[in-house]
Amino acid sequence: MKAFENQTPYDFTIKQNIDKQKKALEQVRKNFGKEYPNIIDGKEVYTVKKTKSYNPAHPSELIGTFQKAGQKEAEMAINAALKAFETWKYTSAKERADYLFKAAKIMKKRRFEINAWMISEAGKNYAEADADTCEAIDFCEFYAREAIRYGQDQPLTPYPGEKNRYFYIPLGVGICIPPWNFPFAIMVGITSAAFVTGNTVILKPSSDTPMMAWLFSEIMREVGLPDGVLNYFVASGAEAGDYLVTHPKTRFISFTGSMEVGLRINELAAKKSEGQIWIKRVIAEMGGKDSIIVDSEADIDEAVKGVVVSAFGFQGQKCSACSRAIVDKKVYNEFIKKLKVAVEELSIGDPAENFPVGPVINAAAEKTILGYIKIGEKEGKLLTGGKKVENLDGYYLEPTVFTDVDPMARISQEEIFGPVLAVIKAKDFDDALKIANNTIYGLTGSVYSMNREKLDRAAKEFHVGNLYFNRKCTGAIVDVHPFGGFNMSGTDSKAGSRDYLMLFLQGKSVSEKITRITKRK
Amino acid sequence: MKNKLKIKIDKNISIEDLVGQIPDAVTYLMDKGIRCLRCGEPIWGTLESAAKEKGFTDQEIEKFVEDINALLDL
Repeated sequence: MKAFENQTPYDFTIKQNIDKQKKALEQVRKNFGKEYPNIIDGKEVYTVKKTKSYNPAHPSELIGTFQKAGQKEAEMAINAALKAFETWKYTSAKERADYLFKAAKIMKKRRFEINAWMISEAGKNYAEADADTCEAIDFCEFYAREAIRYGQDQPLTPYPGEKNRYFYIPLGVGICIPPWNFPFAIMVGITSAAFVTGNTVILKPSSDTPMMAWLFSEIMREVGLPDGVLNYFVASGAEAGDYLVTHPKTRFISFTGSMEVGLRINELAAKKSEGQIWIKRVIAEMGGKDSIIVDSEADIDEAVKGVVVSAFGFQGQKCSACSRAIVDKKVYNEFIKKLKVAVEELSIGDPAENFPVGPVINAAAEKTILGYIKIGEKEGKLLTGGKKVENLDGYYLEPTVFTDVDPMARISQEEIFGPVLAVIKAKDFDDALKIANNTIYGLTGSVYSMNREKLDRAAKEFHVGNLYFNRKCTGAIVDVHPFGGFNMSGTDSKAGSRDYLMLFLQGKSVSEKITRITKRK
Repeated sequence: MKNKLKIKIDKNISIEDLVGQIPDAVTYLMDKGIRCLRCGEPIWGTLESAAKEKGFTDQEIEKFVEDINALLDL
C-alpha cells in the first residue's frame, strides 16, 4: 500500500482550473431543485415534512428538497443500523478500508462537481470549497490506512504459559451529526471514521447542507457499502436528534457544532435510558473564540495578511477563525492602519464568480451577526464594515473590524461565527498571553513574533489545541495538523490524527493458558 | 426564497422551525438575551425551553409568542 499523501489543492489562478470549475457549476445548476429521499437500510424513505436547501448567494434558488424525519423514521434507522452491525462488525478491517479507498477514488474524479455543489449550497469560494473536498478525500485515504493498522493485533509483553492477544473491536450504532460549515470534509471525516472501524452509522446532516451528505451517501452506495451501515437521515435536530441521542441502543454520538448543542448532547447521553446497557461515548468538537497575538517584534505586514485570511476566510464561519487580534501597544497603530487597508481591499460577491468574500449561510445567521455588530458598536470603535451589503441578492455582510475592544467585552468572549473581528490592545507579551487565554474555549491560536523565546513561551502557555506561529490560525491539514481543542471547544479529540480512530473502538484482551486441546468426538 | 409562514406560531415551535420561518425572531429574541443560533446552527429545543433556560416566566413567554406573531404581519 502506498504511504498516505495529502491531496494538493487546485491553483485557481490558473485559467484552466477556473474554467473547469465554472463548467461544473453550470452542470450542477441543471440539477437544482430535485427531491432526495432519506436512505435507511438501503431503501428510499420519504416523509411528509420536508427540508429545503437554498443557495445563500441567491436565496430564491432551491438547491434541493430533502426529507425531514421524525421519531418514527429514527426508530427505523436505529433498527437498520443494529441489524447491519451484526455482520459489519465481523467484516475485516481491510475490506472495510477498501470501501473508503474506492470512495476516495470517485471523489477525486468528481472533485470539481463536489466543489460546485458546495459553492452553491454553502457559499464557499472556489479555493475554500476545493480545500474542503481535498480534506474529505484525505480523511478517506488516511482513516482507511489507520483502520488497517488498528485492525491488527496490538503488541503485548510475552508471558510464560499463556498465549495472549489484544485487539480492537467496534462499539456499535453511532449517530453522526456534522456541521454545515465544512459540509463535505467534517461530514465525511466523522462518518467514515465511525464506520471504517466496524460501527454502523446514522448520519444526520445539517439542514443547511443536506446535498453534500447526499453526495457522500450516493458515493458509498456506488462502491457497494452494505445496506444499513451508513443511513442517510435528514431530520429535525430538535425532534429526531434528541430521540436518537437518548435511544438505549445508541452506543456513541460524534458531533461537530456549537458548544450549546454539544453540551446538550453530552447531558442527554449521560442519562441512562430504559434498556440501556452501556455508558454512551460522546465525541464532540465544539466552538472557538480564537486569537492571533501580534507581538511588538512581529513582521506587521505578514501579521495583517494572516489575520485577514483567518478572520474573513469563508466569512469567518469557521470554529478556527480568528475573531480576536491581540496586538502589542508598541505596534498597535501601525497594525490597525494596515489592517483597515487590507480589509477594505476584500471584494464581496457571488461565490460562483469566485469572489473572496461571499454570503453567510442563511437569513437567521445574518440577523445574529448583525445583532453582534450592534453590540460591537457599543463595545468598541468601528474601524471598517458594519453593514449588510444592500445591492446584492444574498446574505452578504461587510467584513467588520472593531478596535479598542475590552478583553472581557461580549464581542471578545462570545462566538459570533461571522465576519466580525475584535482588535484588543495588549500592554506587552505577558498581557497578550493572558488575554489570549481568557475565554472558555481553547481551539486555535497564532502568534506573530520574530522572537524565539516568546514563541517557545507561547508553545507552553497559550492553551489551545492548535497553535500556529507566524501563519494563519485556520486550514488544518489531515495528519499534518491534528485538529481539535481544549476546554469548551470539545472533548479533546484530534481529528486527522493517529489517535482518532481509537474513539470509535474498544480494546479486547484474550488470554489462553497453553495446553493441549483435543477435539471432542 | 424561504416564505414567511402566515400561520401563527406557539411556544412549542422548535427553534429550528422558528428561525427558518421567521428570521426576524432571531433579532427579537437576541434582544431578550436568547440566542437562537450558535455556530450558525439553530439550538435544539423549543421556544419555550429556550426561554425557560434563560429564566423567563410563562407569562413572559406568552408575550414573546404574541410579539413574534406580530412580526408576521409586518
